[in-house]
Amino acid sequence: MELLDVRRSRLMAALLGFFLLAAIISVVVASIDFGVKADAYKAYTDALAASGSKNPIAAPQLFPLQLMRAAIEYLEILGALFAIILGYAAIAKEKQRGTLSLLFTRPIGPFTLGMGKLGALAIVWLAFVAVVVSATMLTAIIAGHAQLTSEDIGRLLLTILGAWLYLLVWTAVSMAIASWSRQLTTALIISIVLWLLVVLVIPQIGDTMDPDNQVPGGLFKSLQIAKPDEVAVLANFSGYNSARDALEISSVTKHFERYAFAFLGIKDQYNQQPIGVVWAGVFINTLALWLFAVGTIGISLLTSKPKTLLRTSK
Amino acid sequence: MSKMSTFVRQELLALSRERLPLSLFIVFVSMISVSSLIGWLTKTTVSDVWIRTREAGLTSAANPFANVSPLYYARNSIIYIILIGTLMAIVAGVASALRDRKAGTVDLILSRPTSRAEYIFGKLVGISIWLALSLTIVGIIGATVITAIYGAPLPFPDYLRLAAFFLLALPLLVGFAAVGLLGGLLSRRETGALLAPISFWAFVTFVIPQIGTAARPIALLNPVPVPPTPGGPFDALNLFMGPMAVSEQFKAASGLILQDPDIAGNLSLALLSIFAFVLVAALLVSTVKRTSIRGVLSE
Repeated sequence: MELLDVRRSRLMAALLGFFLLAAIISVVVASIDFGVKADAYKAYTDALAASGSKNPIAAPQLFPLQLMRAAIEYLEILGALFAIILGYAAIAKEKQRGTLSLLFTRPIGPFTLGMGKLGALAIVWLAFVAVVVSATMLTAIIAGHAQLTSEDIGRLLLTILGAWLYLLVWTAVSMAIASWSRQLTTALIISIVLWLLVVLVIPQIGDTMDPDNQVPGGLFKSLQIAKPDEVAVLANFSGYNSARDALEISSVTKHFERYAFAFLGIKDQYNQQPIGVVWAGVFINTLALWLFAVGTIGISLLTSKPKTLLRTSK
Repeated sequence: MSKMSTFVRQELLALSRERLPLSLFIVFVSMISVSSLIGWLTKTTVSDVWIRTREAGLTSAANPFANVSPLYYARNSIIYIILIGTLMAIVAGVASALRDRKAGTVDLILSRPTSRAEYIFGKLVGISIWLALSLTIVGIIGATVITAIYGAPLPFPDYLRLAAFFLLALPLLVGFAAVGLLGGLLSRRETGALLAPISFWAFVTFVIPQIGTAARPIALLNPVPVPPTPGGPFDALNLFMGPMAVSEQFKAASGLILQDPDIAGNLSLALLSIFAFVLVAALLVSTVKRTSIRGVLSE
């Protein structure tokens, strides 16, 4: 029933369309950006060759999965918001139509409604993420003349899994809040404020607190300090860095970002590394994603029991 | 005019009772207060990092924050206006439109001898006054926190610059409130009424600047506007898309007003872009038909 509702929903179609458009544009822009850099490099090497000098800089290399960076960031920000709105709407429509009392006259278990709605939305999100990832990769292949390896396919599948879990977390959160709250407006307030804080504000504070982000081009680059020295200097500020890290890891968004950026090779240290190495490197983030998912789904199921829903829908 | 002032008064009263815009206002005030403290903490840490590297003989470069203005601490407020302020304005606009439609009072109001324009602009003016009051409170708190961090009253021109910065935020927020009002008046579903203006906000804040600059969405949450990628089609794209990226134009104008040394740009173009945005949004909302305003709302 929930799947039928979503399939008929023009809102869902508009949402998917808007997101696909934004994600495809981001890959096209990233492909063009790479092309511009490659052309600039060629012009530079040609000029050096003409003057008889040797080229000390390596040519820019295209890693197709890295073209997905902006699409992943869109999933972090907009995907979470859309997941909240769909999760909220799944409960809100039943409360507003007054269909809950009728539903619970049927011989259904205490968790059937919650499981049904979450299960349907889980299928929707799996299809959504698969379509977005496939479309962006297809764009990268066409616009960026990129080629995928079999290992790349494995990385993409793991990214789809992570993105699916992340969207499921936000859907479960908003469903739980909408089920628990007596007033739907209050539910929407709490969900949107939570999205604002967890998705935008906390990561933004974390980025702002990074000393290297304080000067355009990077603080350490402007001070002409090599990476090993940078690490040694920052070791003196472990308290500050720990506080910054603690703030960042309190946000599920950061866990998803670290997970996806590692598997897609966007984070340099994981680029072209075997999947096993990446898996070990982001095990904590993977575990955190699963824990957030299991925790929020559990809470969502508990709050969607007939006792709570009927109490709050009066 | 008296009918419009009635709508304005009603809007102000309703917004003071509405919980969603009020909750976002509380988040907005909190973040503006905290942002200056974060700026101070980061600046202190960066200066300490510089002292360590200098002592270790790793650099001979000057301290990048040696002569930084106290207005530097207001830098993060630019981002919170774009992130939280604009969303608060959208929500205020949506809430204003949905309030009458949900209660069914819109039919009654429009049956009176009043024009559609008086009704819509009455609401928009009411929201604008509420936003101006919100920005005044936020501005006073921001200036107080910066003064406390600085440890002395700022030079008077700096207060004027801060006032100009918060004043500039008003047309930006009014523009987004008009977009919210438009979404609320046109949509047939409550969730759609909120989702459409927020999607527009996301498009303006993330997608349009990306087309012109090749910047990543998260990088756009930095208070410093992203310069266009030189070469290729980006110069031409940025020429066309740049003025439409109203949040990036707001960043540029704010940075120039606050004398941020990292920001270069054209203040006149930025101001023109912001005022054109508010004008177009207000014109669009004024074209909403009576039948749309009275349309049935469902979930």
